Amino acid sequence: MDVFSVRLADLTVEIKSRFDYLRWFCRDYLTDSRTPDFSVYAEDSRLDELREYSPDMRDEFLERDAIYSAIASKLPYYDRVALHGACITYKDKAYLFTAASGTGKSTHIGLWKRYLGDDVGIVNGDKPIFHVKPDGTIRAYDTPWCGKEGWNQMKNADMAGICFVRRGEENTIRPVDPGDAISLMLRQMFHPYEEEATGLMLDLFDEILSRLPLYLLECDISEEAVKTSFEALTGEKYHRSDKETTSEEINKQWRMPG
Amino acid sequence: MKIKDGFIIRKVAGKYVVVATGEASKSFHGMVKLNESAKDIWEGLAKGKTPDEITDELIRANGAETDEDRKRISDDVETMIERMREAGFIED
Repeated sequence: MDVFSVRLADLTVEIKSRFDYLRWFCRDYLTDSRTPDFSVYAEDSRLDELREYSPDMRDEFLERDAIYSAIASKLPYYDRVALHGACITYKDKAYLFTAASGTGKSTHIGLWKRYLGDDVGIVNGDKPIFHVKPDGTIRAYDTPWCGKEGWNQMKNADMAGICFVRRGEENTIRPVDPGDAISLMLRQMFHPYEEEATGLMLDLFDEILSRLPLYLLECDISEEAVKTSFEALTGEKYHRSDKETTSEEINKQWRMPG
Repeated sequence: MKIKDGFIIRKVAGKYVVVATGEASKSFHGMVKLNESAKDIWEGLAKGKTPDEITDELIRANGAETDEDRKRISDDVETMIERMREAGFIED
């Protein structure tokens, strides 16, 4: 059994793992701190549950995902939630694009980077963490769990909006009433194991919906799609960057090394 | 008759939302939104009240005076409980 601690969303988390892979996976997040906020271990039963969904996945990857669930289950006790979505920054403000897998979140944020260039950064492309802070702000944090693109930079930023993404024939965006956003977003929120944590998660969810501007975007994969979401989210007039960022360059800048 | 263990009700963005946790989340993955009277019925059952007690309370709370109003509330409670039963939220 390997025991190590990571620094995640300004918390220290102690992880007990079976496989060397997990320490390597968390390598950029390791800390020497001996006073963790909480400790997690992936029970065999959790690995078995995940195996049901992904029978061909190797055990070290099942443990990686089970540890994510164990951490995400504890976060609500610390005013934090785990969400499925792609979180980018534009001029130091963070924006979350969320939708079911396969909708095109990564494609859309890739288009932002392609056309808007250096002003656009990545927080995390798949599983960012959000801290609902007592001062009224919501801060987005990177994590090593970053989906198949592997897009993650070790940075955090204050949230300025959430955008629900749908595929469409045309590019349109409209504000969404918090009450109408519940079902869109709750599906993409991580639901903790414990009853108490679930209640806290819902309270944090309520805060997120009331604090942030919410939008529903229907889009294709054109530059017009970027213009549509960019202008609504940032309030700025769309201006294409002098130079297009190629997908090779995007991966070079955004992908976690290794 | 009671609500199965593991369902959490919370007010989110002005609406009452029910989600499952623990064992219950294995059979129920989604969420339900409840209006004010559905929430009262849910909470009544969660506290161990009978459908008749819940109906009486709602009649009092709504100041229902005519037989028509009482009948409507009674029907609402019955319909809601039937729906909850179909959705697998209730055990006897």
